[in-house]
Amino acid sequence: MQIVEHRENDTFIYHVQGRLDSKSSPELEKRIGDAIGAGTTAMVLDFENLDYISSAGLRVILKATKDLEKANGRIVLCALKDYVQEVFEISGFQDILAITPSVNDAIKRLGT
Amino acid sequence: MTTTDVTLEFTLSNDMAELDRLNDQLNHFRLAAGLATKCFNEVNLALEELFVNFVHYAHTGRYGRHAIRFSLSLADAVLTIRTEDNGMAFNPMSAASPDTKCPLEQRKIGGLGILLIKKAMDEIHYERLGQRNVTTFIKYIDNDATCLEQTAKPS
Repeated sequence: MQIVEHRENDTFIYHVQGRLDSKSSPELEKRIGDAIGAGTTAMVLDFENLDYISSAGLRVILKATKDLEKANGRIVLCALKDYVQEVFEISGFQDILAITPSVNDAIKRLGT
Repeated sequence: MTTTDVTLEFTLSNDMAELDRLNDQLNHFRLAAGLATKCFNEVNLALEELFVNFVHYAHTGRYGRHAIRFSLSLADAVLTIRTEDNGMAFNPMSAASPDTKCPLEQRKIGGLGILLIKKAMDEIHYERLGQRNVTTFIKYIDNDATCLEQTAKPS
């Protein structure tokens, strides 16, 4: 898994590439945790190049969502591939997370 | 795209570092069998969740290395996966399903792995034989549908 980070104004955008599984998810968890600790309140996870996700990945995303809400922040996911979308639907995460088709849509969503 | 009949067996120990070996073995299987991506991802997911559960729970309170054996067999587009371990009695079918409808604040991850396994596999059969858990998973492989899905979308 690779995480490419970039910022637009105060929004942190993480482009997560490859696989988010039991082995790789701790790294994403740490990156997000550090960012929240440093005061980030607006985050986008770009999954355009995410090929696979397991419950470990869902755990990290759920934790990030709850932690950001506590800090009056928000996270939006975007560009989920079909398989990843399916995992979100099966687990019911589709209904509790903000998901948009693209990074631009995600940034707009954060602004609302 | 038809699949090729393939059999593969391997054993892992209750160490999260073995997840790499699980993925390697599954990749060999995928290439040999000609499994399409979507179908393969479902199998990969189910086995990762199973393996992680094994590492975390099967030998709670016991020391030492413990093994879980995987046997995969694809024949006539039916995938049979058998797992065998001597951990605590655990029947995936009797594990409680998580509440996937509750709001964010109450949402938990517990049980999600089992739910994903149940969704990925068409049949699950469990037996406790002596001190061993023997679980058989069956998945009907629809490789053509997944191939169509792959070619339908422009990248």
